[in-house]
This record gives sequence, C-alpha cells and structure tokens, in this order.
Amino acid sequence: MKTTRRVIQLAFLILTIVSVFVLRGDAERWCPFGGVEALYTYATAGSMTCSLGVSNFYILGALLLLTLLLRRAFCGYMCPLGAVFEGLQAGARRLGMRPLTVPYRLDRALALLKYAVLAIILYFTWTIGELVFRGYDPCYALISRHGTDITWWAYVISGVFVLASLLILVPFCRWFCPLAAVFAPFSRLGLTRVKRSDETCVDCGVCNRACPMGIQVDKLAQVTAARCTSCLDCIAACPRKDSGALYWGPPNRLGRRWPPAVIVVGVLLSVGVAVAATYAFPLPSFVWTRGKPSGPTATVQLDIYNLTCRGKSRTLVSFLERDDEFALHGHLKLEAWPGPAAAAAHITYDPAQVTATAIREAITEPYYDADTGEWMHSPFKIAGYDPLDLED
Amino acid sequence: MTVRRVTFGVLIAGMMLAAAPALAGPDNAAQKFEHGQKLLADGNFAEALRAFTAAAKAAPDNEEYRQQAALLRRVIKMQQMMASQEETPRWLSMSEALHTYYHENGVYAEALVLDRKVHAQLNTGDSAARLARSELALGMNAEAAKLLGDLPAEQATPEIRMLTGIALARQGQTDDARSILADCQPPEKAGCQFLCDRARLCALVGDTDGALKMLTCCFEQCPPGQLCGCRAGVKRCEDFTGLQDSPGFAKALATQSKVKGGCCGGKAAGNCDKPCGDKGKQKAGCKGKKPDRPCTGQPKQEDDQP
Repeated sequence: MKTTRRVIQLAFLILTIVSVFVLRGDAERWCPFGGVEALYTYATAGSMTCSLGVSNFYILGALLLLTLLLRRAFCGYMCPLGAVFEGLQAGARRLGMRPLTVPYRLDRALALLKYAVLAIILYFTWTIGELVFRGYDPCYALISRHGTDITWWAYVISGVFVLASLLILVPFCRWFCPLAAVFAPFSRLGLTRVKRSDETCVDCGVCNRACPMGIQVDKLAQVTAARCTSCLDCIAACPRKDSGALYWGPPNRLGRRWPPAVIVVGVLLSVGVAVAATYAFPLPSFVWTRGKPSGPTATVQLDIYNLTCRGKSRTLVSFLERDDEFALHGHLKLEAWPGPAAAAAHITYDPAQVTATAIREAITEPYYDADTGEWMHSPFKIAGYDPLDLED
Repeated sequence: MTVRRVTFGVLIAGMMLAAAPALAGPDNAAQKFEHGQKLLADGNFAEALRAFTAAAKAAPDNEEYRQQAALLRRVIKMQQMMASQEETPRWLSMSEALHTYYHENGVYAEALVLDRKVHAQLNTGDSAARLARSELALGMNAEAAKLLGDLPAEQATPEIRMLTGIALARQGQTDDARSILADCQPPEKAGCQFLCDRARLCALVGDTDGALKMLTCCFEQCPPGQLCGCRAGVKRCEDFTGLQDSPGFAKALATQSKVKGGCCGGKAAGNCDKPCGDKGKQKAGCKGKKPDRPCTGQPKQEDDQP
C-alpha cells in the first residue's frame, strides 16, 4: 500500500509539473483552496476573483466529498506540495537524518496555527477581493512559473519549509496549510478510519513512528483525528497487521474490512468528477445582463483574447455599453469564462436592433470616453476577426 | 578538413539566414512605426495608417502597433463622418474626440483647423480655450492672447486665465503674467489640467518652487491610468525646459497618484500586466511611447507653423 501511495503521489506531482511547465496551463484554476477564496465573491457578486474559475468550485466540492469519505486523502495522495515534502523527508532518512520528535502537546498547539493562517487569508481575500497572499504562497511559487505578482518572500517561505521538512515530518501540512484547516471538520466526520485491535496489538509503537501526522495510533481504538490522511503508513509498518492488529475500513458497526484499493478509486473518482463537471457543466464565471428581451434573441459565441479576469470582464461590459456610433441597443446578456489564451464569451442580443458584426466592432474599436476626455484602446482581440487585415 | 570547413560555413550561413527575419522583424517594424508617426505629425493620415498597419503586420506581438493602427483607422472614419454629420451634439462630441487625438499625437495643424470651426460655431469660453491650446502648441502666442483677451469677462474661467498668462509670458510680458498668477488662485478641487497649466505659467515667469509644487499636485490628482501620459507630456513640454536642471524636477516627476484606481477585479491578481483605469480600460498610449512631441507646450523650433 505504501508503494501504491507513493506512485499515486508521484503521478499527481508529475501531472502538476507537466501541466504547469510543459503544457503551460493555468494550474490555479484547479486549486481547491482557490475555490474557498472565490466563494465570497461568487456568492455576492456572481463573479470570480481574478485568476479563478468554476473549476475551482468543482474540485473543491469533489475533494470535500472525498474528505467526508476518506478523510484527508487529498493530502496523502494528491497534493503536490505534500508529495515534495514527504519526498524530502524520505530522502533525509536515507541519508541517515532521523526526523526530530515533536512533543505531542507542542504538536497539538502548533496545529492550531493553520486556522489562524486560514482566517487571515480569507479575511483579506474576501474583504479586498484580491488574492493578497498569492505572492507569498509556497504552493503558488511551485505552480506559477514565477507569476507576475510572486514575491521573493514566497521563495524564502518555500525554502524554510523545504529545510524544515528535512528535520521534521511535513511541518507545513501539519501546522500551516490553510486547506488542511478547511478539510478538518469534514475529515473529522470521515466515514473510514484506521482501526486497532486490542487483542492482537502488541503496543510496539511502530505505527506511531510511521505516522507522518504524529497521531498516537497505538493509544486509539479508531483513528478519527481530523489530520489523518489515510496514508495507511501505520498499517504498512505494523508487524502484526496480518493478525488484524491494524486495519482500515468503515465504522465498527458495519464489521467489514475494506481493501485500501477503495482509497485509490475514491481519489481517482473525485478527480474524474471534477474534470467532468468542469467541462460538461461549464458555468460561466461572469454574467451581466442589460434590459429584458422584447422578442426573439440571438447569441453569438466568441473566443476573446485578453479576457483574463473579472476586471477585464467589466472592461468588456463597458465596451458593450459604449455610447458612440458603435453603441449596441436593446437587450444584451454576456456570459463569460475569463481565462488565459482565448476565453469563451456568449453574447445574447436582440437581432432586430443589433448584428453579430456590430457586437464584434463594439468590442474591438477604440472608444472615446467623453467623461474623462481619453481615448481608450480595446484590449480584446476576437479569434477569426481581424478588422485591420493583419493576418494574411 | 575542407569538407568540415565548408559544412561549418554552410551551417553558419544557414543560421544567419534563419535568424535574419527574426532580427530584421522588430527593427523593421519599429522603423515603419516611426515613419508612421512622422507621417501622422505631418497630417498625412492615410499614409500613416498604412505605415502603422505594416508595422503591426511586421510585429504581430506588439500590441502598441496594432492599437495605434486601430485608433488611427477609427480617427480617419470619424473625420469622414464629421464631414456629413448634421446633428450638432454628435458633431461636437466627434470634434472633441478628434481634438484630443490630434493633441496627443502632435497633429496641431489639424487641431487648429478643427478648433477654429468649433469656435466659429459655438463661440464659448470652452471652445476658445480649446482653440487657444492649439494656437499655443503651434507657437501662435499673440493670436492666442488676443483670442482669450477678447472674451467677455464672464467667460474668463481659471483655465482661460492660465492660458492667457502662458501666452503673455511667452511674449515676454512677464509682469502681466505674474499678476494673472497672483490673482487666479487654484480652485479648491482644481483638475489635473489646470494644475499643469499653472505649473507651466509658474515656470515661464521664473517661479521654480511654485512650478514644482503645482506639478506635484498635478500628478497627485492625476488618475493612475493617465499618470504615465501626463508625465510624458510634462517631460516634453518646452515650458518646463528651465526646470529640468532643477533638483526638485525629478522628484516632482516621480510623484505618485493619490487617486484610488486599479483593476476592479483585483489589482495584483489575474494576468494584468498593466494597471487599468477606474473603468478597467487601457488608456491609449499609456506606455508613454508617444511621438517626440510636447502634448501641451510649445513645439520644437523646427516644427513652427505659420
């Protein structure tokens, strides 16, 4: 089981690295913590915080369900940061460096820090509407390809945790990760757990030493701690596992033993559901409506470049609402999926008053703002529409 | 050995041939763009558009070239529409848009013709001020002073008084200019344009401290999206030539805007690589890469127009 977990961890880490550095995709759109940060703005304004999309919601939802079933299995099997830190720890052990033992009480006290980290991040993100800690986030430092607002602090913080991981078992995951704080209440209610049999357990304590989260497994009949990642390293290390000293499964009352393959299936299913939901039910990240339709409507679907965030979506709205010779009259509705490269936008309009060509012109033609006395360039390009005939 | 040399030579030649378009591209595009700017300044709009379009084709990744071509195309269409526009409000709003474009791009001769038509139609203080700015940009200081001096007293807004002072100061009538400066204090919520004009007048009458103070206030009042354009205009303005050696000038130029701005979606998030204005729009020319023309001051000697 330990090997299987390592393989899955490595697979997700490679997938992340390939997506970010080879395919140059936008890994932030799949960050579950991004879903947490975007919740407030989506609930109040109907649009996402910049750089996030509905895929964040889907992955967050899928992982919360996974957590209810399999506890913090995301942390133990999927998180790229966790994979890196555990890999560093494994490497340190091979070099003969044994991890420091953190006293239990100190460990429990430090574990409260992640709730403070979560509260601070959410307060500023929800009140300001920006991902203010993005520039300091060690995970963002990994997946951003040195993003535009990354600060050198992110690399310092990453470096500190890398060094700390050589000396202590996954300190970031245990004490500082805000996503772990989000998962905690769901993990506490987790359906499955590691169980210990008093009859066959010999209290050797090997399971304690194997647990990366510092759980005192040998003192519990069932491991229901929120921080359990269902890694099953305790079971793998147990010398009496064949006698049933430690096993994993649902609560005792069901009285059955479940193979760890359920975890693997659960992890893969959650990812599959999130991906399927994103592409099968792509809710727009930004919706704006003007007026009501007075008759039949038409919709034009455009792929627009530089429609990258909520701010740019509002810019698009201001061009749709222009009041010069390119003004669009009647009902309009914009549904946009802001993102890198060409972002999808569906614009519904009254065909009796407006044409699809007029919409394209309104979006791309420069605009003179009489209020400010400025000429404004349109930052948008529409795929397949080149009024300047620049493309041969 | 000979084969090796020949092979090596062919490889080098091939690499140079392959690199040539890449090396030539940006320079070629920049040359075309610069040529377009010169044509535009001379009022040759059609040829300027061809040059800008060619520059945009040669450097497809350069947003500025594409945007300038799109803007000029729009301006040309607007010029054609104005000729047949019968609705006065529409005509006036177009004239304002064109006036702004002409001044931002140093096409002062065209601005003068347009502003004369507008003033002939409206004959208001605002139209006179606009015409005076074009005359001052072309060094027609006496004409500007007469135009503004002939206005009725009730039309002598603070802006007009500042422009009058500038026109007088440039003609050496420093005492009259100073008295205008003393009489006309900045209103409580003076706009960026007024503060810049006052700074010019202070500089022309030799009040260095006053000029620097006004420039600082001007930049503080300037919305973030307009700041770089405003700064570029001040750097090129001939009225500030006497200040450029002053130690406070660089400090004044570095003043940041105190006006709240930034992308409404989050200024640091997303993929924004430049600050947006209050409405999230990108101001034309905000990179400060404008043609080498002052936007509000006296033109260079070689560009004097009769």
